[in-house]
Order: sequence, then C-alpha cells, then structure tokens
Amino acid sequence: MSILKVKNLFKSYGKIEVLKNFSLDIDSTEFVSLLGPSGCGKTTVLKIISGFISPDKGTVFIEDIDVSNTPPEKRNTAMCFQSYALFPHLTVEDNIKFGLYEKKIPKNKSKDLFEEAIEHLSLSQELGKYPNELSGGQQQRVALGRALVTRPKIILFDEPLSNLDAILRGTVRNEIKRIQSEFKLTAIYVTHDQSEALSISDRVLLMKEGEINQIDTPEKIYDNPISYFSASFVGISNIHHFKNPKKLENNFIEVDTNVGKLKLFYKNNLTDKNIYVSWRPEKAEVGEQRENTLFGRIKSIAFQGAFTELEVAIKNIKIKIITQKRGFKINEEIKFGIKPENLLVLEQS
Amino acid sequence: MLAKYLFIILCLIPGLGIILALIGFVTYIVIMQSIGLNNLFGEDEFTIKFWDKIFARKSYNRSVRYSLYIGTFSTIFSILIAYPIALWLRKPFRGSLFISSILKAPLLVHGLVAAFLFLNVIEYHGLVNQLLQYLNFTDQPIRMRNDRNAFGVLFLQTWKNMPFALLLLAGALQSISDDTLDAARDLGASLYRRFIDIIIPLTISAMTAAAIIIFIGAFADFTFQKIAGPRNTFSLSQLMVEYRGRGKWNEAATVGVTLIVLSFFGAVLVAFIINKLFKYPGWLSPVKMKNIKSIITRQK
Amino acid sequence: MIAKSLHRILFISMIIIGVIWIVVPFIMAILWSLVDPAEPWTVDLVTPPVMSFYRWTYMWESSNLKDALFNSYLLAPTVSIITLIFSIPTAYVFGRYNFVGKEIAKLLCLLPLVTPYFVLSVFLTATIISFGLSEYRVAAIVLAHAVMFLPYAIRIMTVGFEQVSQEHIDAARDLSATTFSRWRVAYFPALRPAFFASILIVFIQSIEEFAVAFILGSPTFVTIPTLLFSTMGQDFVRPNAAVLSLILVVPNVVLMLFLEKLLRTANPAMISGKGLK
Ligand SMILES: Nc1ncnc2c1ncn2[C@@H]1O[C@H](COP(=O)(O)OP(=O)(O)OP(=O)(O)O)[C@@H](O)[C@H]1O
Ligand SMILES: [Mg+2]
Repeated sequence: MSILKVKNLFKSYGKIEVLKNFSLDIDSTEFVSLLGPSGCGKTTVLKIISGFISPDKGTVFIEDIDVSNTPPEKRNTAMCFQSYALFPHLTVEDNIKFGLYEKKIPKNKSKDLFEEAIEHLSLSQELGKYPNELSGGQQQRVALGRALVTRPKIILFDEPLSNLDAILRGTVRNEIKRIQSEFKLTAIYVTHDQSEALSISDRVLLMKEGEINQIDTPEKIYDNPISYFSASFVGISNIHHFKNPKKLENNFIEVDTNVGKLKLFYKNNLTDKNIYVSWRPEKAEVGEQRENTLFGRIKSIAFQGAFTELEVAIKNIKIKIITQKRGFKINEEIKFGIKPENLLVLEQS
Repeated sequence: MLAKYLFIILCLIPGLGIILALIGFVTYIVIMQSIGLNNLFGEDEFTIKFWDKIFARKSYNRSVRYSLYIGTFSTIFSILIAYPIALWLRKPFRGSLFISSILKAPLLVHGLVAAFLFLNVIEYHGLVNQLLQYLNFTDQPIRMRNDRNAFGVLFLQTWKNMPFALLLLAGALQSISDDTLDAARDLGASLYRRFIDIIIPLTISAMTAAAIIIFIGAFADFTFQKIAGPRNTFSLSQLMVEYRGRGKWNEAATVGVTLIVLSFFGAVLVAFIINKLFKYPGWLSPVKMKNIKSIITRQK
Repeated sequence: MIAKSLHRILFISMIIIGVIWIVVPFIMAILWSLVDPAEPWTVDLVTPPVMSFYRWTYMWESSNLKDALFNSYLLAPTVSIITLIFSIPTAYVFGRYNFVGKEIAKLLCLLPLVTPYFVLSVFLTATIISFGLSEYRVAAIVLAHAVMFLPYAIRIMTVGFEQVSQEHIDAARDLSATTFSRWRVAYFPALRPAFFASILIVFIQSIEEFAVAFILGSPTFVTIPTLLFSTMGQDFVRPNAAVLSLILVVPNVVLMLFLEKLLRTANPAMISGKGLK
C-alpha cells in the first residue's frame, strides 16, 4: 500500500534548479535510501516531504491525502537531523517526551509509548542526562527515540551516521534497521555512502542533479546499473565507449570499443543514448578463453586477502580486475575473458 | 599533581588573586567602617549607631526605594525592548547588519555624552518639547529632565543598556540552530510553543547575565541621576558620595554596604526570577500549565 | 504576506528610530559645539545664528582639556598593558588546564563586573588615606582600573589560549624548540588577535571610566570624562560640553571600528569576549 506519493516536484533557488520533475512512490514499511553526490538535492527532498520547504511545483501525498498546505508541525512525519538537533536544555527524558507533549497525546498512552521507546533503544540508564553528556551513538539513539516515540507514519533520516566513527556507524546502522522493522516504520534514508545504502535498504533511489537516475533494489542497482552515472557511482565499473553496434543472432550484439571488439547480450533495442558498455571488475575471468578475450599488462597489484585487485593496461587504457587467483607479477602479460551476459549497456547521463 | 596545583595557584595570583584581594579588601573596609571600626579619623569602637541612625533617615529609605526602582525598571525596559529586536535579527536579511549596528551604537557612546546628547533632545527647551509645541500637543513644555518620576533617568538607562542586552541576546539567539527549531516544529510544536519551550529557555543564561549587569549598573548609578534625575531624591551612590564629601565616612560606609548587599541580593533575585519564569517547563509553559491543571483537578 | 509587510513596517520604523536614536542627538551636539558666543542659539531658531570654531579653540586654550587629554591618553594605554600582563597567567591556566574548581574560579573573575564602581572608588580612597598613601592616587587609579577591567582581559585571553592548537605546540616540541621558541612559534601567532582585542577593549573602558577617576582623581587629576562632568555641573555651558562630548566619542568610534575589523578577521568566538559568556 502506498503511504507516500511525491508528484512532479520542482524547486529552484534563483537560477539554480535543485529539483527537476522529481516523483516518488513509497509503500508502507518500506526502507528507501536516497543516494547521491553532495548538492544533488537530497536534503531538499526530505525537507519538502516534511514540510519545511514548499516546492515551486508539485504535490506531496501522505496516505493519499494532499499535504502540500499542511505545516510541518501537523504532518505525520518525523525527521532525524544530521546534527541530531537534540534540545540542549532538556534531559534525555524530556527530549524524548517533547513530541508526546506537543502532540497532546493522552497521558496513559504516552507513558506506554515512552517506555517502549526507551526499552527498544536501551536508554533507561541515560534518562537524566543532558545531550552534551552523551556519546555520539547515544545521541543518535535519543534523536531516533524522539522521532519515533510519537509513531510517525514516515520517518526521514538525513545522513544520520555522518557524525559517527566507522565502528559505531556499523552498529548504529544495524540498530536503525532493526528498529525500523520492529516498529514497522516507513523510512527514507539520505546518505552519500553507497555501502550504507546497499546494506540497509529495500530500495535505493539514485539521484543526480535533482533528478532520479535509477530506483531499484540494492542488488539490481549493483548488477544492472542503467546509466553511466549509476555504474560509476555505485561500486567500481570498467566502462568503455562503444561504436558501430552490429546485431547478431539470439539477442547478441557486437560493438567496437577502445579495448577491441566486444560481444554482448542485450535484449532491448539500442537507442541513441546507449553509448557505453560496462562490466564489474570481479566478472573478469583471468586465464580463461572466452568469446571476449582481452590481453593486458599488469600495472599494479593490491592483495586484499580474500581477493586481489589488479590494474591492467590494454593499449594505454587502464582497467580494474578483481580475482581470487594469486601469484601475479608487475608488467606480466595476462589474458582474461568476460562472458557476454556480464557486459552491460549503459545510457549516457 | 601537587606541582601542577602549585603552578595553577601561582598563575591565578596576578589575575584572580588581585581581583579577590582588592575587592575583598574594599568590602572589608566598607563593612568595618559601617560598624565604627577601621576609622580614618578618631577612635575605633564597635557600634551599630550608624546603622540605627541611617535606618531612621527618611532620605536613606527614599534612596533605597528610588535606586531599586531605577534598577528594576531599567532592566525590564532594556530586556523587553531588546528581546523582540534580537528575535527579529536572528536570521540575517538585507540591511540587518546595518540596523543592528545602529542599535548597538550607544555601546560606543560614553554615558556622560549620552546624557548630554539627550539633554539637548528631552530638555525643557529641547527638541521633543519644541516639536510637541509646534504640533500643538501641548502649550507648556513638559518637564522631562529632573522630573519627579525620573523618566529622564530611565530613558537614559534604557538607551545605554538596551544595546548591551541586544548584544548578549542576539548572540544567544543566533547560536540556536535552525535544525533545533525545525526539530521542535517537526515534533508538533506550534510557533508559540517553540518560543516558550525552546527559544526562551535557551536564552536564559544570556538574559540572566544581561539582566544582572544592567540591574547593578542602574541600581548603583550616579551620573545619570546627578544630571537628569529628580532634584529632591538621591540615588544610593549619590547619597554615599554626598556623605563622603561631608567627611561622614561611617554613614557613607553604611550606604556602601547597602549598595553591595542589595546588588548581591538583587542579582540573585533576578537570576532566580528569570530561571523560574523561563526554564523548561517554566510557569509560562503549556506543559507546566497542564500539570498545574491536572493537580488542581485531582485535588477537587 | 502579512509577515512580509510586518517585516517591511519593522524595517522602516527601525531606520527611523535609528536616526532619532543616534543621528539627531549627534547633529544637535555638533551644532551646539559650533555656536558662536556672539549670538545665542535660542529656542525659535532651527540652526545656530552664527557658527564658528570659537568654542573648540576656546576649550583647547583655556580649560583643562590639554591636561585631561594627556592624562586620559596616558592612563588608558598603561592600564591596558598592565591589565593584559596580569591577565595572561590566569587566562593561560583557564585556557590550557583542567583543574578542580575551574568553573568557580572563572565565575569569581567576574566579580568586578557586579561590584558597584562607586563603592569601590569611595572606599579605595578611604583605604589609601588610611595607609597614608595619598600621593599615590594615580597609581591607585591604575590599579583600580586594572582590576575593574581584568574580567574582560581574562575572558578574551582565555578564549585565545583555548584556540592555540595542541598540535602546533606538540609539533614545536617535537622539533625540540625551547620554551621560548615554543611560545613564539605556537602560542604567539594564535594569541595575537586576542592581545589586540584585549588591549583595545580595556583601552576604551579606561578612557571612558568615570567613577574611579572622579572620586580618586578629583580635583587634581582630570580625565576627559571628569572634565565633561564638571562642565555639565553648576555652570553648564552647553557649547563647551558639546565640544568635550565630541572629543570623548570620536576616538572611541574609530577604535571600535578597528576592534570590529580585528574580530571579524579573528575567530568569532572572541566576539563573545565583550559579552562575557
Ligand atoms: N536556502 C538555499 N538557498 C540557495 N540554495 C540552496 C538553499 N538550500 C539548498 N540550496 C542549494 O540546493 C542544492 C541542493 O541542496 P541539498 O541540501 O538538497 O543538497 P544535498 O543533496 O542534501 O547535499 P549534501 O549531500 O551535501 O547534504 C545545493 O546546490 C545547494 O547549494
Ligand atoms: Mg544534505
């Protein structure tokens, strides 16, 4: 069931167009990540959904009700700020209870909600403390508790982990995910960390310059990037410009690239925009003889334990290869193959 | 550890040490002289007769009341005017820097100069009176300097102190992040409640600092009083200087002790009132109101 | 919409109030200072009938103005240097050390701000007389000023010391710098804006200070404020007071602009120096 619909949002500041025809549809209890480079408009989307910014054009529906003219304090959304935005003059307890007071939730009910929240977030030891007496992770949990204690329909996270160190980040990320599924919340999660987005979400929305570039499950985003942008932004890809596509039998095509002729499997019809072919470094099969056999010289070797990363030059073109094999030498000539179905056709943009 | 503390104490001596020594010493002298000891001239003898005498004096009691009146109202006016302006200037807009510089300019103007400047404006034949007469609001000039209610003094105090309050309050308000206010809004707080529950409590310490300093300055005022105050009432500082001028050091000391004690209690009271009124959830807060209401209904 | 027009109304009224607040009084003061004694400026005239610089030259030649200027401008720099020197050790431990009772010590440093200045000056005089040190009045004024303005200096210097980065100090140490060169390399550059801010603020305060200069200094030691006060006393000659007022205000404004510029280039946290905490 759709809980949030955003239709055709436009927003600009002066001459800068921040959002261009942005639409989105999210189901109840879904966890959607908004992933994109800095300045692409992620925060703007969240602020429009929560009501802090009104769009130039477009509408926001929450549970099929148009909330475009509803102020943030009346919208059933809760935002977790990047800075946490805890109230410095209130204790943890008062911070969490703040929304219960302001939304005038009856006493007995608010007591249950409060107790449930602190139990889930294991904050019962910290109730009397002030925000500046808490660690980063604890502050994050308080912010989370304060946002979800009133049981909002939608919870919005704006890069909630960016102030935490790497170790805490993993723990808190799992915590957010656990709480989201325990409370059956619908969540939109802004990040520019791709591994965060891939590991936590039901769907990833990839944004570029105010537009949706691709929206899909994490696996599909990784396995089937549709554009140059998504292939290069999520994970590592070897991308080649191609020319002269020739149709072969059984949906195979052959193209010319700077590393040579490549044969690939592509069901759809090619358009003018399809000018790139890409493949993931781990899809190269070193030493194998395939349809697409390439020869190159090893330029650098980085042993990573479970696998080895190679940088290989084919006629001055550098490509990356990830392999389980070992025992390479610098400047050694190697041969590798790529299966046609592992080669992907990308759109420009 | 011991060496560290020794070093720290050594370092504190020229700064904090001198402050404590001088202020402590002066306070000691005032108190002693007010009870007849440490006299400059004549025999030392412990006595409370100076206190008895001064308490019986009408002029003393009037001065106490008058100084408290000036201190209290200067503080209230300064903060009451500064707060909304500081709120308005919280977010920068075109021209906001200009406005805040104009409003803060009196900080650069010496109190005496301010007094002089405003004599020209508010005096019997000053600009305001001429304007009022010209516009036929009044046919006799209104007395605004040396008036009985000391409006001239209050005006000068507010003129001089409002910018100081504005400086502190604007600093406190500007350090409240937009995220904090947005978070409150997101949690359902209306404009009024954001003001009562977030903004005001977060400015308590700035407000208290401003209020205490303004209160003590205005309470112990000498210059404005001497120039623009009522002729028939003395402020406490004026009374003290007057006694000293007549060589009555012990009487001056009693007034001095009064000034110190009332400044101290005034400051404590100001801090207490501000804290009580504005702390979250303060008396003004809806949260508190609800609690009070529920207590009342339960008792019924 | 309503908010917008409210904003506009506020804006315009603030400009008007600002003009009445500052500009009108100053224009009046300037006009008064230019009144020529040949003909008085009476109620019915918008501007003085005859204008000249007579009052300025008169004040310069025949009053204590020269003495007052000399005293004030000697007193203020002395006080600001002494205050700075006194404040440094205390500020250093406030800024770089953690110790039990630090917050209380910091609070106690604000004591002069809540001490009524007239009580301080009257009974400092009493103390000096009782010790038979009456000749050292000027030294006592310097001392009293130093104590009164130490809170500002300590506060500003504390912020300054807090901002010296530990990494710079450690780096200087690593390079086996001596204590002196450690200060020169790590502390001094970071502290420079604080030095200037402290000196300027104390300078302005000292130039303006009235209570101590008046009670301890009178009648022999005049400063600009005490001179102004005396011209505003019994024989109040308005044009003379206007001249003195302008002399007292103008250098302040220049110094303040200086300070503002300094603070803008330095750290914003320092600005709170003037506003305590
Ligand atoms: N109030 C504003 N006025 C002018 N431009 C703005 C304003 N707010 C945002 N922008 C611009 O809009 C664009 C998108 O901003 P937004 O904050 O949504 O980016 P973001 O994707 O959240 O970036 P980040 O990952 O850095 O947080 C940016 O180019 C920004 O400069
Ligand atoms: Mg952002």
